[in-house]
Amino acid sequence: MTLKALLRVRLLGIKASLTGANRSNKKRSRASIIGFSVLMLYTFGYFVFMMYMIFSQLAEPFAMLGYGAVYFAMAAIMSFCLMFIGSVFTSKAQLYEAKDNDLLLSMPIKPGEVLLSRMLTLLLIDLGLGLVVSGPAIFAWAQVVGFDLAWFIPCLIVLIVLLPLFTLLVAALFGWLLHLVSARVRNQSLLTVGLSLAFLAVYFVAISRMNIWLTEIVRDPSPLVGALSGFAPLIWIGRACAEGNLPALGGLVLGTAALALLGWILLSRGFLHAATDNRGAAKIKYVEKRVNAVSPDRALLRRELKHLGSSPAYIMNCALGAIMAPVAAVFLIVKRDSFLPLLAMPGLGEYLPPMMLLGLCFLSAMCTLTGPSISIEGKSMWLLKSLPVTPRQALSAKLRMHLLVGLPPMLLCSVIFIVLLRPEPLTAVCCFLLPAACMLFVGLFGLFENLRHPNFDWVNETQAVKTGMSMFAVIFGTMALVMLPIPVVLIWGDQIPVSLLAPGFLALVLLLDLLLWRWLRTRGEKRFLEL
Amino acid sequence: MLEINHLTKSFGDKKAVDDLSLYIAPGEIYGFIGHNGAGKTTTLKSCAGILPFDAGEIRINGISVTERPLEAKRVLAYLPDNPDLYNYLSGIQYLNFIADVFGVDRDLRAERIRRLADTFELTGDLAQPISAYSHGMKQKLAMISCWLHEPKLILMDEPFVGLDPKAAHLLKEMMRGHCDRGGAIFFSTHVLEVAEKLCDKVAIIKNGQLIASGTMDEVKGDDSLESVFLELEEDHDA
Repeated sequence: MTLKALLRVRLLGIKASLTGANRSNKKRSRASIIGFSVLMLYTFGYFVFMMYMIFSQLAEPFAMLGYGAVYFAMAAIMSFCLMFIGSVFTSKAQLYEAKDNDLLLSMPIKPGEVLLSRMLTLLLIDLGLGLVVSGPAIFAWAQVVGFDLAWFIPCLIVLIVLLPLFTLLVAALFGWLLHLVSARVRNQSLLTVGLSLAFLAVYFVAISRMNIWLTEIVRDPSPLVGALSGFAPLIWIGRACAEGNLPALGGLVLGTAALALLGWILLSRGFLHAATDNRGAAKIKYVEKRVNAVSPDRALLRRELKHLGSSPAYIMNCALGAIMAPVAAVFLIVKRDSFLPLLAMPGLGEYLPPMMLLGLCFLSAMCTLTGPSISIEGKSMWLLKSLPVTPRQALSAKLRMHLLVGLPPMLLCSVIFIVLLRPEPLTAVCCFLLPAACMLFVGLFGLFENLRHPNFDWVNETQAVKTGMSMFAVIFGTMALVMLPIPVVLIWGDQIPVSLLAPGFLALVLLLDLLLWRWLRTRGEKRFLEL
Repeated sequence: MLEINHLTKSFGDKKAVDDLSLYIAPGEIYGFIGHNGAGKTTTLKSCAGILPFDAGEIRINGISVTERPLEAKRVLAYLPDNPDLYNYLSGIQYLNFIADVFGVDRDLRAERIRRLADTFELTGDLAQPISAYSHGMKQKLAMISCWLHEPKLILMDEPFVGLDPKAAHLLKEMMRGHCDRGGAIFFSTHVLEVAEKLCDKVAIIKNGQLIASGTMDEVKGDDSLESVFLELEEDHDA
């Protein structure tokens, strides 16, 4: 009964953050809910399609060679990695660092039940992420070997039930470790960002090398078979899924159940301590220093930067473009020999600079710092409104922080781009202006959306930066804008001179910037006062 | 110092504050009492320029909160009932941020932070992140920030909640000192004994309407404030 009530509260919280329900109690319009659902489905569909493209290449050769078990073992590894990376930091934040831990633990509820309710909602995340890999893997296999309940049912049990459950346990354990470590280091933010970037680097390396690996595996799967055969549970997974092998399935069910029980006992015993451990890092001794007085505008900007620096979730979710831009710049230099010859290719060469310029705009779109910048004020919003600063000053500080973090690495990329590609003068000018205009667009659009859909009722800051109507609208709105030239080129490419593509797109982005700017200076400022 | 004329504020169909008028002169500590949900916080937030209101006018030191909000906010300080401060800043960073926004110069702020932090015994914790502060420490930090720019009017919502007896005593002394220097304080409280001893004037609010106001003697006469408050609440119900 208690668990049911706890689960209901958690699900209501998730629903509120997704639908943007906030203190104003205003119901979302039907159109906005439908739009939001379409965006969610589009994202899910996009990743499912990507995975299907991978598995459809593998299924046939693996089926022909009789390596079905290896195929599913590989699918399980990929699914586990995606679920683990996608949920480990969320588990740290939502299991052990949730704001309502004290409240719930003060109630006559067993700590284990609080933990279980949280873990079950995290299981939903794992299930969603797991389906992105397992769904296409099963579908691609069924297309080759034909649909048969004998393998399909065990496959569902293993990939859709047991694997997410196992991943949840591992992520919860790692989340616990991360919480213990980060609670004792002074710069928690740096540690978490470092780890997140390491995960991300692994992910990007895997994605960039995926085609090479796939070709090698299809050509000769024996090294992979040899590597996987050494680990019995993986072979059980493979056999249960590909052959419907019941002893293997039984072993997996029993093994996962035993691990789940053991893990839950271990975690629930440590949960009370972990959730209430307030030891923190060593106390910092205060030494009086002379500080220079700065203007209110600069003080507001500093505050925004401090907020960003203190929140790994904010950095990893909203400043990725700024982190990736220097990486892209180095990549451009290192890989210049691969793409510079393409410039000389008739037909492709002239399109290369605008296409790469679009890549820079894409990086700008990954810098969504203003998207949750109002929501993350949370319960301290009163302070900003009680201080002698205008809404314009408050909003402008958020925009300046966005530009300060996002623009310099983007401009570095632009310089390297121009030096390497030596485009014609008009495109070269656009190299500087277009990514900057896109960066400005994301900043303005983020404020626009967050003013319209703020969410102050979050339990953990991660919720404010990861979910909510405003963030989805910003991410997809900017991506839609950046991708707009692609269909234009595909449909009307022969009618539009290539040299006009970048300036034309720049004009459009600047026009949108202007419209958003005007909205913010009029209705946006009024809206800020009403929050 | 503070003029509230016919203030009205509704949330949906509910009138949180209904045609409320008050005048607080320089040098006065004005207590604001009422049951939970009576409209105290709404009134205080409206005065602080945090909450837009539907009708009426609020002037601070002669400056309209709606017409010249920035100038009005520069001469006031607001202390909420729950000090949700910026957890990502340290205590000293927070105080410097407030000082920067209010334009307190370098030497003056250093002297005031030193004096106020010593008074509230918070100096040793100023380098700590606010996230590591207890409720009482946050309350003390918020109080220091209130006095940092030496406002003319201080608005406080339940300022004694969460304070240890020593800090509560210090706060009362600081409130009196502030008003003796010509400032004014308008604060809400449920602790009627404190209001009775500390306030020069008191206002009682019920369901958004002012049901009594004036000097302590005018409101309570020879009775205790508690008995008068309960009596007035019952009369108003009848």
